[in-house]
Amino acid sequence: MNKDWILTQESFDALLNWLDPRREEAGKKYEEIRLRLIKIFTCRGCLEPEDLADETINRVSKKLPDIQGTYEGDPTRYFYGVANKVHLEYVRRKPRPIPPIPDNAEEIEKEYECLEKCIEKLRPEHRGLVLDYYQEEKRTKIDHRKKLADQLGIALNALRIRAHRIRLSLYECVQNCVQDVAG
Amino acid sequence: MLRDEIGCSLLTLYTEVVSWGREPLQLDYKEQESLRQYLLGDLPPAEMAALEERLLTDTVFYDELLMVEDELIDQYLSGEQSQAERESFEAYFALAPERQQKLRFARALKKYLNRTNEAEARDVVIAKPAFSKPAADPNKSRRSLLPFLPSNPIVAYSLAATFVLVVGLVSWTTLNRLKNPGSHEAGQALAVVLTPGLSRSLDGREIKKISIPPGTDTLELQLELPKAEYATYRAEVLRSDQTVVATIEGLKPATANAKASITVPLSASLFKRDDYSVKLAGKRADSVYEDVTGYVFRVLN
Repeated sequence: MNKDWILTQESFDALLNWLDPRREEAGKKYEEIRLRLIKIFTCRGCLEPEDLADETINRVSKKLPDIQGTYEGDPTRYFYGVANKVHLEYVRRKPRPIPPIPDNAEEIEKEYECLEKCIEKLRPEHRGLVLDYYQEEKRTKIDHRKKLADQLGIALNALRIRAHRIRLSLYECVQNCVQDVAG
Repeated sequence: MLRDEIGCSLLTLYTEVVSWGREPLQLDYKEQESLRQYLLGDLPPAEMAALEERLLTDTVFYDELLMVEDELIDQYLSGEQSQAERESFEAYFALAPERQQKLRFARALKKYLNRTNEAEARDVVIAKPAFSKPAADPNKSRRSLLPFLPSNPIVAYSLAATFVLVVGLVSWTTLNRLKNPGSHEAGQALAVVLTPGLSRSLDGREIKKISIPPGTDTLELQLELPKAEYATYRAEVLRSDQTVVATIEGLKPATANAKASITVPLSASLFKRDDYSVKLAGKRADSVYEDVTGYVFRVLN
């Protein structure tokens, strides 16, 4: 992979400006693109999705002076084209397979303790919702969630989204807590 | 480095805006199914490019992918997937380190829910008094009762009437016990001293945490009073969601070592893992209650 080229402040600013002239909007778009590229590389079974996403962004930045005058359409699509090339090179290198993370009993226990702490930190209404939402399994789960949505006066999908967002914040809290514990 | 510094602050802002400020529309079944196949590595290659391009440009679609990802993990853990899906899950989906972390998190969440359920099941064995939250589905209890009722309507109605009478008597007795704390039956009691203050952290001290040992009948809350201004008091105990657990009137203050306090005996079965608050009000000469102070505590089991 071509890793000789380094992203400078100037080229990064130019990239942001290409994404959106408004700095804040450009920052949001940049993060969106990076997170989604990481997800796509993960879904394709890549071992280091963050590195591949950054390599994609670097290459787009490098190419930018040549294309920004002529390129038409959503810049995001250009990233996708470059990501495909980066992925192709990655596959040709025959990467080593992903090793499984060993289940360490002590770490699992730490993670559980972190989860308890993070659930305690949730706002009471969020804690109640997430614990109730993930309560039942299989068929009873569907009925249970319908009743929960009725009780809250919202559509089932809105409930699903709310529960997912709380779960996401809980997951991030647990990951941060585990890192803090590990020092 | 540069990317990380700028990205981090923007990511925080972005996550907050995107996570809480928008209610995405629901995708149709076919789109959700495509995402499932994509995540499991089963999507036909011809459909992949269009799907991935949409992931990059469509926020709703990307958010849906994240939800489907979590749902796949939950379904795997609860054995809700077909054999083919399980195989794809293990051989493809679960290989990514990020997903192995998510899988561990989902296992921990499941374990937490199971433990909470077990603790609640223990509470339910001790009959819930009349203050407890009504059943979420009234039809559920009716459905489970119906098969035991005789087919003869006269016998059935007689049995039902007897049942209602018994339930009424039990409820009346329970209510009386809670309204008259002095009449609470003697048994194993756990006394807990609470100092006034409705904040989570009282003068830097942590919220009072209570573990109720198995076999405890009564939780005796000993509420310290700033000063005994009233002849009688009313204590209202509330859960974190502000539902009332119990209201007890006619409580008289006692003084020991120059400190005034009120003892509030409550059935231990009223409590489960949650944060609670107690609102204390004093009864004025004109019989109107006036707020005095509040207390908070956390039940850990």
